[in-house]
Amino acid sequence: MNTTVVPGSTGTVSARGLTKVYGKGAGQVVALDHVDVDFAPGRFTAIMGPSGSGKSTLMHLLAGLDSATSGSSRIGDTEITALGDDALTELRRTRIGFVFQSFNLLPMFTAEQNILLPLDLGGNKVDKEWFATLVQTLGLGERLTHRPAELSGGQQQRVAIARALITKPDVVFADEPTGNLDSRSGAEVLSFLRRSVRELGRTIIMVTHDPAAAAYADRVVLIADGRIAGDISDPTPESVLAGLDALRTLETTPVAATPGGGQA
Amino acid sequence: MFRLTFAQMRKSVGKLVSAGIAIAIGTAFVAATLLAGNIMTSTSTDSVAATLADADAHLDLGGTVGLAPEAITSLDATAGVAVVSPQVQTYINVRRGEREVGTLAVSAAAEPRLEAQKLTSGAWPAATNEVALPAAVAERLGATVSGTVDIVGYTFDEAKGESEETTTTVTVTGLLDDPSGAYVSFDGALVGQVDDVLAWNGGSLVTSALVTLDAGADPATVLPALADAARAELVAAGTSDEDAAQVRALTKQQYADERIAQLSGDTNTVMYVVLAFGALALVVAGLVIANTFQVLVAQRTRTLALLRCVGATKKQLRASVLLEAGVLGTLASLTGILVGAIGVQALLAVLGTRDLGVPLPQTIEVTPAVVLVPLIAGVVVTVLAAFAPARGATRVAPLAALRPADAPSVRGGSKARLLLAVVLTVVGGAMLAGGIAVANAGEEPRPEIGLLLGIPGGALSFVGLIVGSVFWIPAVAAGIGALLSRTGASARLASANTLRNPRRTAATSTALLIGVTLVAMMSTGAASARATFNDQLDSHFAVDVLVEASGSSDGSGNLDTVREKVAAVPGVAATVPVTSTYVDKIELTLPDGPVPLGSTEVSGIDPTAARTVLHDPRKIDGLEDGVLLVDSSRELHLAATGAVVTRADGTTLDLRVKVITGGLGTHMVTATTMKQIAPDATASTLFVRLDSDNPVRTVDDIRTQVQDLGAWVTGAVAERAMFEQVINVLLAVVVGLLAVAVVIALIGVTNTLSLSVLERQRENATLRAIGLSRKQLRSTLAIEGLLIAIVGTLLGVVLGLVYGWSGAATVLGSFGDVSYAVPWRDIALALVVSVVAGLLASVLPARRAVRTSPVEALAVD
Ligand SMILES: Nc1ncnc2c1ncn2[C@@H]1O[C@H](COP(=O)(O)OP(=O)(O)OP(=O)(O)O)[C@@H](O)[C@H]1O
Ligand SMILES: [Mg+2]
Repeated sequence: MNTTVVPGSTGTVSARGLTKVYGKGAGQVVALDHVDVDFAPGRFTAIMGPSGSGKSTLMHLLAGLDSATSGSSRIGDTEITALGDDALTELRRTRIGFVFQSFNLLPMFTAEQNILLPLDLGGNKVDKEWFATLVQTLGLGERLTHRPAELSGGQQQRVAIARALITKPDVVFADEPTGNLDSRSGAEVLSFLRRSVRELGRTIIMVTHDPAAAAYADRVVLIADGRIAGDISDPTPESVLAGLDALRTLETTPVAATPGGGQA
Repeated sequence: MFRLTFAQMRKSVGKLVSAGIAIAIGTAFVAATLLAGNIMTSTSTDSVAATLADADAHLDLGGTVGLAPEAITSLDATAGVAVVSPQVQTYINVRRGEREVGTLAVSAAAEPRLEAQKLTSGAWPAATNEVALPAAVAERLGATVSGTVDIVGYTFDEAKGESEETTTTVTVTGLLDDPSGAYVSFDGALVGQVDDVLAWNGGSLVTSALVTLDAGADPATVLPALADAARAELVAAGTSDEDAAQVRALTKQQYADERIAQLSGDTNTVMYVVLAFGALALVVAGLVIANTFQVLVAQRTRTLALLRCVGATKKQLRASVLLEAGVLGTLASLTGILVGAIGVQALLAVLGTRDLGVPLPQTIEVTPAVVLVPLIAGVVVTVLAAFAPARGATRVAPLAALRPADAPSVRGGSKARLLLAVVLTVVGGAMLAGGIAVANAGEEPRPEIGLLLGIPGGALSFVGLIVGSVFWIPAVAAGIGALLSRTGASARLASANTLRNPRRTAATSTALLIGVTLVAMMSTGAASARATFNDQLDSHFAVDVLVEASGSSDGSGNLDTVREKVAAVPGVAATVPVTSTYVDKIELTLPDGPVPLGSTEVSGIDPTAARTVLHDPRKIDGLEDGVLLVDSSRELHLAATGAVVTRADGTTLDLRVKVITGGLGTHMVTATTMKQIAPDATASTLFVRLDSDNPVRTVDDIRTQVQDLGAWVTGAVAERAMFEQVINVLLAVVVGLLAVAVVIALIGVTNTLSLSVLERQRENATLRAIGLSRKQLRSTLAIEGLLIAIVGTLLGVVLGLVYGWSGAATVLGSFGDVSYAVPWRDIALALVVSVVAGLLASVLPARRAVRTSPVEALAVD
């Protein structure tokens, strides 16, 4: 198995002046406020911040699931904010993977069918070797013929990770992937995510509330009130907690957030 | 609980509305049928009452021999009675020149105000041998006022012991109109003097009279007195007391009510048959409702469990679901009744502008039954349909509130259901098979017993198949789905989705299957009947029309003229002359020596021309010059090696022989050979082939053309056309009625798809997030709709064929060989409709589905 490969093909995920405003008039909420941020390929980044700070919104815009009010987001050379629905669908199918908090596997399909679904939708051939690698790395060999209802939460999430990786996407977005798991399964899933970055050369951006989960990442981006509020490299649970504490003080005395510099 | 029920209903309004439409269509159908029945009844009541015109009462001497007209008239001596006007009716024919029309003749009343019809010109008949004619009859006869017509009646000749035709020439004094529809079934009635009408039917006594009372007279005292007076007259004339007791004097209303009671038996039968179709539509609607509630309950599992957690009893939950069904049933039924009523009223308005000869009421008459029957039926069906889902609601464990809400898993059927289904199907199938066997039992076919066995057998096995549909329909759907799955990811998703909930898929397909099976059965049965009778007509009548000149082989002089005239009639495609003659003797040469043939008639025809007129050219297979085509089924004749024909003058001619079974019924030779057999014989018969749209009319035209020439026309084609027309009309009516059930079932498909979309909102969003395009999502749903519709239709067609053929075998078996026809056109139509409907059914749900943003997949509920 190869180690620490940074594939040259994948591009940087980046946002420039990315803004999202929900609603109109008095009920208007600025979920993202001119966010500039870069995520380097081959890295595992965690996004953290208080509830309602705009983490999920940022992820949706970066992944082209929702449209921005202004600003741009891109994956490599592709300007996501400029694409139409079909192009976005194509992009999600081939260049982006998703891992959801509630797994979102299709109940009528087996684990194997669920994993291969993105290829199936695109009518693409299965890379047998890659599939075998994923199954082995994620420890799913025994479970391929089972349906989601017959799998534990942790196993379901591993299937979901395999599904996200099967197309060798440029980037995998994970929104609270351990939110519905107990701490042991959660730790398992997180180490799989880390292995897919270290060993399989993938890029992962994960939203989480849990400082322990964030510590699995190479880097933590802190977000507060729709703005980038901090950046921690090689985080440990302690440094993440300290960063979050700092945010709380920031919140009480609003200061222009330090833009999260595009670091590689 | 009420508040909760209504709050939940408000949340599910969309689903409830589409389920409500199904019920509303059913109840609209029932309400419209009842309203139409009322209109039929009131129309006939009016028409019966109209025969009494302005009379106050009716005197009925039925059951007695009757009294002479004068005796009846003099009954006006009874206190309070103004006029007693004898009433006589008889069926007669009216002739003028060549034309003859059958009609009803009624006696003229004592006063014009007692006449049911109105005079449009001329005067009422005032003397013997004067009549007033209905305008329509006069027109057909070409009769005018002051002209004469002949009345053709029949009198019974005691001496000879048989009826004899009598002809009386009468003068037309006036023309009549029948605005109140008193004699609507006859285009009005001819009016003549009482004595004349009596004479035409050879009688002299009257058993019926119209009565008017003095102003202020009380019918309750006057009428019994009148009846007594009539009885006294009868007894005086020699009638027994017992017979005389049957005399009755009824008020106009009593009389009309009584007559209607007799007449409406038929009306009611028609209405009950139509109502049976309405019941069927409601059953199908019930399936749609049951589906809807199943999903509603499944989706509310969390709410229901939460309610259980906070202390709601099972009974309360069940009551809540049933209450919801009751409210839905009531609202939908009322809507349906309103729609039905508006529909019939609109129809009345349209028909009112046409002249149908029947005075239709202006407005519908809404009786309690019109509202109550569909309302109760609709509510009962809805509540019954919700019963199983309501029980499901009570099974929700309070714990379910604490578990994450996953898509509800739905069980297949129970063992008991499987057993019931198998028993019903097997027993019903056996009865059906037994019915066919009895109806076709070689020596003594008993089709009536076959039907007695077969109809309940067929119904039972069909119920069995429907009860068991949850087991076998998903299997069929899986098979078809597997085939479709090869076409791509959308189809794979669709077929996997279809199989997720076998019960719902089965119920949706079954709703469609019921309608389609019945439609296919009817059309298969009709097609088989048509084919069977056609085959038989073909073998009995080889040609469309046969024209025989002068009825003898000698009237040949004018066949060419006849042929010319016939060929000129529009709709005639070809005519071929046939020459027939009787020879002295025909002997077949057999290995054991010559054998004479029973019939010595030989007919000659040109074989090439013959093929243009014969329906089945095989009937002259092997006919060529020098060959005698022998039509025989006797084994003995098959070995014939030749034939010797002895001509009338005693000379003989050797011919080759070809024996054929089921030929033209006579020995055939070619026209050329005929010349050798009988050089002087000329053609006397014409074979005619038609290519007319209206063969009945064409045959009539031919008849008119050649009548004067003394030719005789027989047209099997006319019989066939009439027969086909009857079958086609019946079929169209039945299929039209069944179509309602099919429409409801198709609504069910849309309903099921919308429910699936709602249920799978998160799944669809996930799929969108991982790369399912909008187009793919749309086609997934379209294929799902298609699959459900196709399965129901295909299975319906197959079952319909089986039942249709079984029916044909039972009913037609005793007539001879049954032709099992496949109504391809109707089957193709059913498939096309179901494919289109399946695809269309997905349009609205798909629109909703693609609108959902993938972001929702990420939302945690
Ligand atoms: N569809 C929406 N309509 C209106 N406001 C929204 C919508 N989605 C999010 N918001 C608002 O935007 C802001 C950011 O929401 P977002 O979901 O991105 O927060 P988050 O950081 O993911 O929070 P959490 O940690 O609770 O998931 C919040 O104030 C939220 O109320
Ligand atoms: Mg969030």
